[in-house]
Amino acid sequence: MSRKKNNPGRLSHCCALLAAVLLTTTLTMTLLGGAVLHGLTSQELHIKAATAEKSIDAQMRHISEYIGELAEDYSFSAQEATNVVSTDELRELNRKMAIWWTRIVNDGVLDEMPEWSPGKMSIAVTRSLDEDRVPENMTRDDVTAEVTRLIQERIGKITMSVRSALIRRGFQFLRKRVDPADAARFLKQGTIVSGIASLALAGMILLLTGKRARASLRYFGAAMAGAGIACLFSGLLIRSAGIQTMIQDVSDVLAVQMAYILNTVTTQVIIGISILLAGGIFCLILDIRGTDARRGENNGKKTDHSQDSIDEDTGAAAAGGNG
Amino acid sequence: MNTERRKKTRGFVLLLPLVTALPVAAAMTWMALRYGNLIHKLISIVIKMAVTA
Repeated sequence: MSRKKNNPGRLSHCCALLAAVLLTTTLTMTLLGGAVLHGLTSQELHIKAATAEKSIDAQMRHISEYIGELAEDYSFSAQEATNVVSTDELRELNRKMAIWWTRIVNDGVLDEMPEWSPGKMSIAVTRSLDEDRVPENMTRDDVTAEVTRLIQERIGKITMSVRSALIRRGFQFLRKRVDPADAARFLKQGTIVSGIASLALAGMILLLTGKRARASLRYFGAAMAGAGIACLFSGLLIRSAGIQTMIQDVSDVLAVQMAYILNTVTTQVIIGISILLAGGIFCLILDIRGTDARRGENNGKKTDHSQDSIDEDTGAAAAGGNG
Repeated sequence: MNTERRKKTRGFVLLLPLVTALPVAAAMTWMALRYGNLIHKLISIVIKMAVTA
């Protein structure tokens, strides 16, 4: 068997280019799918976002403002009531909320929603309540109970910014049609299948280029760098949608948490894009240098090998429409 | 002649990533142009309905 026979022809180059386009698509899907999956289902990430210092600070600020408003209406000491809500307690409640939320997505289980326990709030309100300014139709205990209930409700809303009734109804509606846990599993399996398809396509490129790693480098490089460019483009497109601003307009606490999640996921995607681009460019440079070296060798020796090189180049050029 | 072809091949090889990324980018752009407004409105409504505080 001569060496020339092993060289991939024009048809092989065209098929390899097609496989590279498909490989770009599957690599893009794997990277973006993995990022979406991580952002939606990672309990650790959601806990970190919910208990981040910025998020707790924003929540504390809201709670203080709300207690201040209530104190004006019901005449009690806002400072004393605010002191009852500790940041550690709030952090723990946020952690429980994140677990509650991710259990719906991951396991399809809707547990009882965690609640803030008022503890010493009623004592603080009763102690500082201005007796003379209690509304006529209410007793001192009524005011204390009402204020405690309102604060508890508000803390619940702030720690779970998404309306819990809507989650409950949406969950029940979805549950009749599809199990949310199945949907997450489907997304996970889709990403894995996409990864396996990428490996299969890489193998196919290797076969199409006559099992010559050097010849397949061009297509591996093109697919990897192409996937990097496609992911970058998708990221810019998603960022330009302005979802962050929409959330910011409605809730700054949720915006802080979303920013944390988005930043983590974006970092993960940027690392993936960098690896893909670096790998792709490395493969392409190796291919260019290999081709140059082969040509230089062929020019010197003027052997039969030059024909191989020409065959390869014309094939590659044909695949790109330059032949 | 040889240098010319070398440059041509280099150019072609370096343009290949753009060629492979083109279908994905085109599909994304088409989706954004076709359904972008609808998706934007839907997300906006869902956020306004669902977010409480």
